[in-house]
Amino acid sequence: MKSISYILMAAVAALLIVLPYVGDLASQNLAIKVMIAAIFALGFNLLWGQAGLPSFGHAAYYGIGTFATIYAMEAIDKGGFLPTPLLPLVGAAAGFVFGLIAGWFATIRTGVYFAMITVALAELVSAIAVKWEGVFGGESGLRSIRSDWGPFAFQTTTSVYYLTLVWAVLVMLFLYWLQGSPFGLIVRGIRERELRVKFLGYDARKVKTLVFALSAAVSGLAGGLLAISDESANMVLFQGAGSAFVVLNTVIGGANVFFGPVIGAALTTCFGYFGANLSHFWMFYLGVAFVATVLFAPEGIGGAIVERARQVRAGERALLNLSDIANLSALIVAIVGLIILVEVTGTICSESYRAAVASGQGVWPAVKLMGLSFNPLSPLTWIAGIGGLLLGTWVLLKQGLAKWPSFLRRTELAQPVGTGEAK
Amino acid sequence: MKSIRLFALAAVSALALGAGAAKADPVKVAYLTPKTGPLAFIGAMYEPTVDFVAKPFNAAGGWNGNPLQVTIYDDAGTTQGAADRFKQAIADGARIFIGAGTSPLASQNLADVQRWNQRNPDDPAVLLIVGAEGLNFTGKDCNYYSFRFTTTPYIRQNALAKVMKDKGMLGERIYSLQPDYTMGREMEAASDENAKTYGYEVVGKARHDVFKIRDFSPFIEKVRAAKPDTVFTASSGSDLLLILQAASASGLKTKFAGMFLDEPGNLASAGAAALGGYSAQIFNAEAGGEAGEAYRAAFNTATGRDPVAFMSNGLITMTMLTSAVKSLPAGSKINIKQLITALENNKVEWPMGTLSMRAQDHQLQLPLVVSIVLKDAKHKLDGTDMGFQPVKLLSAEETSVPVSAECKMVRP
Repeated sequence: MKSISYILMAAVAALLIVLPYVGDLASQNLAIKVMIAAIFALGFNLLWGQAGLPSFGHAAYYGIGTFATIYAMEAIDKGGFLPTPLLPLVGAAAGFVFGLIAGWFATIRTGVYFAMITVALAELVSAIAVKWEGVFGGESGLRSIRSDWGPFAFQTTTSVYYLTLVWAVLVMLFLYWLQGSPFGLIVRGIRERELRVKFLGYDARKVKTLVFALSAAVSGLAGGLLAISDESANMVLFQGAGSAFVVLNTVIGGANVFFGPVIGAALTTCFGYFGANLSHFWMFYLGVAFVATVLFAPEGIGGAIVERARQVRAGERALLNLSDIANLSALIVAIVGLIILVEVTGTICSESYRAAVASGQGVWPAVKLMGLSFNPLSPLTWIAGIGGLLLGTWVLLKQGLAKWPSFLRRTELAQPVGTGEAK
Repeated sequence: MKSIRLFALAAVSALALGAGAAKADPVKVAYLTPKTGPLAFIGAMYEPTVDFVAKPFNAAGGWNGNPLQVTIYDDAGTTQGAADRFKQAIADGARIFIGAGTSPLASQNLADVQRWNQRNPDDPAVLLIVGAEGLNFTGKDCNYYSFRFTTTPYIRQNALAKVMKDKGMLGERIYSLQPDYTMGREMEAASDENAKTYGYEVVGKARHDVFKIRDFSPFIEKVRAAKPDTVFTASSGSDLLLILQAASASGLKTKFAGMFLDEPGNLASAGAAALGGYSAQIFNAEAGGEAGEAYRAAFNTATGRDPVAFMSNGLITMTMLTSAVKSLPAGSKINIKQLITALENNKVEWPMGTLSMRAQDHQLQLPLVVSIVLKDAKHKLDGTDMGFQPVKLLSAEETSVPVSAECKMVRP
């Protein structure tokens, strides 16, 4: 088992290193965006997963990192001395400073009020960015260009890819170390029982402010990498979508597992990248995935993998058995059912479809989907959609892969989930 | 724990390996527009306009037998998405880009095109901006490789003031109520600048937050106190509706003049409050006479709706692009510099008049229709009993405003 994992790890590392030689420009760019989203989600999860503090305004620190880095890039272009590979540190520093201030305010309160303050601060930054054209560039934003540094040229996407890869590895090592450090233990202690940590003599407020600032710094670093990759910054970055996506990534991937946010970021970024070209409704599917994860699998994908790995190691279950195959098939049936329902409904509600009906003298054309034609007037279409969705969901619930949400289970409160790596 | 790390890494690398397949021959055009997210309505507006022009062009043989292949890329309304889609489209082999989004998105597109051209001077890309009205695109950011196919707040304000002055409807007291972002600030500056030309005085100014305010009555009371004859506004969407409704509820009789009243759904939502509002439109079937009516009917048959608001800009962009492509000499691949020259020199007939592209700043020279919302308009909109009745059709020469002093185009 151990040797297999080492071989696999080496293979993955090799794959990441040779990617620019086998993939084209678009796949490199996608990999860069996955890594940036992963760093951002890891930074966010430091606050949420580790400290248990829900921030719904992390786009602010991400965006500030981007803008700070753009200014630094501009300074380099004008003859500054900062080496280009260290640019993300500018974003991190900006995020840290701003996170320190914001964290100091937000940690005055806890729980819902804390979350509200983070939202308010993000809105504040967003509102300022819209109005302060001199600094944030207004609607057209700011742009700059990457400069070379010594023997290193940064004009190609490949060079940006490697730069991002190096930074992603560094950030992961740092966060992993932080998690295991005494500071990380206190942070988790605050999450579990803040009062006890206070009785031990720690200043919980200071710790929370610091972890907030660190989380903002990692987010700012991700923003800095975005600035290097896209060479521009726009006030749109501060808007709510960025804050929402990072929550989505973390929840889908699993907040209690170190690599959970990375998995979530990889999945949603790739889904957005490919899904957007495949279906008009990709955001809806993402929303369904989010709701389904929160309701039925609160540990996320990462949590499910950790749990399975634990069971395999304990000899409770095989790596893959018959019920897994049944579960997977049920999941696919449910997804196909959902896709049929959504796509057929969505298509017949679109204006172009209504125009086609009008020009075809009231004949409803079939909806093309996955290589098949679905007649929207035939009950078979709807039976297939609803039936697939219900059947798949029923099997999943019966098999126990998905759990009824706690408020429907009528048992006592859900047990706190293990902290994964910490064990 | 190792296995989890591995899984994560494997997932990243496996998913990172997707690649776009390349095809030969067709003239590839990348259409970057938001199709999902909060700005999805923009993509929904532009999408039908693409096929409406491209289909007949390809049916008639395209460019010497090569079809125009327009691929729509969804930037999801974010600048990051726009940057991603640009790189994807470049990888797919497109060098002609149509940026059909808001000003921030178009800025991102322009930045991407500029940098691509800087790094690949032998394989340049060109950007056609459809609906971004920011002054910078033909001002300080004007670029040999980018074209703008819409107006600026200056052009629209100028057209509105000109026609309303002509018809004696403008009055001498003007109020400027603007959304507090680039567009609003530019409209405000335009209102100031034109004061002498059209003999009015700006008696008051106010800016409001964008899509944040629910109750506009304090703004309306400020307007009332200034006793203006006409209020100019670049507000759009729900802001515009709320302003009109607040004005109507408080019994303010002032005329409103703006540019976004003909966005889909606005008339229906504003109801009677929109009556008497002035708008500078790109297209109005009634103003175009027979040609306009025929165009409207053809578009309606193909797509199920009338061309309104920025849809017309989408149609203009595609029409001018196809016409320029058609004029190019046969070859295996489009020469971007030849295409740019063709775009600069082409004159295209459009139901409202002649369209052309000014070579100095690549600003479209287009006719505009100043219309008023009335109940007896010929074409009712959005299922209401109201529509836009043309007041005057201005020719491209009449709507033109001088080249911005900030534009210093570098021609290779």
